[in-house]
Amino acid sequence: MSQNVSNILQATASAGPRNLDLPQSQASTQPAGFGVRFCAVFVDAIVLTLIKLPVSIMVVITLRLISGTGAKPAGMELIAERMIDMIAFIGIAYNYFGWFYLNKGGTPGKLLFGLRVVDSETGTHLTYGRTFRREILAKLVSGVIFCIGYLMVLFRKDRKALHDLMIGTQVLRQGK
Amino acid sequence: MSAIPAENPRREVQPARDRLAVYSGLSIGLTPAPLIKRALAYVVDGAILTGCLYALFFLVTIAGTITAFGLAVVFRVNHLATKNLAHEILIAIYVVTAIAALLAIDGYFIYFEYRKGTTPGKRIFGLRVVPLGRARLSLGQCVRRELFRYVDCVLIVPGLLSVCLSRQRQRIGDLAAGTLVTHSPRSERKRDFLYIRAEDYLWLAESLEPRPIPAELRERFLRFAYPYFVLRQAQASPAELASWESSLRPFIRDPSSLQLNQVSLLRFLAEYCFQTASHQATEGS
Repeated sequence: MSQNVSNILQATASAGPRNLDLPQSQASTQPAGFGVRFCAVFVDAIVLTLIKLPVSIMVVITLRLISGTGAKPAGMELIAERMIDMIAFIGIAYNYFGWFYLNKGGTPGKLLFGLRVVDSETGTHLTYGRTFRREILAKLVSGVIFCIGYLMVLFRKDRKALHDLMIGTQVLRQGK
Repeated sequence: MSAIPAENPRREVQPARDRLAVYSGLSIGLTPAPLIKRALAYVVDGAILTGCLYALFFLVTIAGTITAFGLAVVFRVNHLATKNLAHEILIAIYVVTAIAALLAIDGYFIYFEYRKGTTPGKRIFGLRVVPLGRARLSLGQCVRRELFRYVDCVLIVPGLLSVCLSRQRQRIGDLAAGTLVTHSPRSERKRDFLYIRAEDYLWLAESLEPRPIPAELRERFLRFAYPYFVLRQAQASPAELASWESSLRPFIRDPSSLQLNQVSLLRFLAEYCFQTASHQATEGS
């Protein structure tokens, strides 16, 4: 660490070769803590609900128009309706999370707070497949065990949650 | 950016669809905001507001119930009416909170658009609210813009129609206030850069013209560069830095004319690798 610092200091002190300023993001990029991540997830949940709502309504309306009965379906029809709703939601979630994680490093809720989800070894953004595994599958595991997977962020030095460990990601925070 | 046409300068020129006219007859080359981005920005803003108001209502319910029953006990007329009085006070508190919430929603947008030109939701997507024919947004413009939001965003159809049909992609609030929402890809990308500043990356990329680096080398380099530059957890000897520089130099033009520091050059290369690895879906600049 000290050699790092001395390298950088030596570089800035020399008058000849031009040394570029650090970006604001690099001024202090560190793993993100629990509070910020929680706020980000909160906002994301609302965003997803707002996006999901029109789709759910459309699915329900379409199915009821197709089935012909105006009444509320029951039994197999209800199960089918719920399943189609879930499939549609997973489709939307796959594209929504996938695009945002690949191109911007995080969902809008995370971007608002300056968070960025990267691969923990190379620092690159996640692909669609990895994002799907992290958001849908790994977070399911994290949540099912009484959210211990999420609470791990509080107790680990590197601030990784269980789904981060499973997929090999890290959530960074860009401080000033 | 297109120039002012030389022929017939006094006749008002109709701008092309993809260029916005800020002053009549003069096209400044701002790009209009894609509707999806505007919609998503609004959803994000709505989510922030919903979250805050949810917390607010939660607190108000707790505090309000306590206050209502407390006041009812203090001001009771007779013993039997305490509960009714408490309920009425609570309803009054809720009504006041609801009105305050609506004002707060308008105030959020007005505050951010007046002071900064963008709201946090818009800022993520690189959108700005730009006044027509003026340098800065006036308070009246902001207020008018927000009042018509009830028409645009609540009954969604008129807003959508006006965005699709109006020449400059304005919703009804924009038409009333004389504003535009523009999209700046550069400010959207500004936060994307991890190793180096956006401005520096752009001119370096122009001068050095990096060619695509094979994936294996790119990944190896990032495995070194990310802990070294971003996390600052790794050590590297000067020999190691020099070996990285020499193995990556074939992919760029000769940098000696720029008089760059070795560290800066490596950071630029790391940023280039990061950008190509992270944005494979959209192959953009």
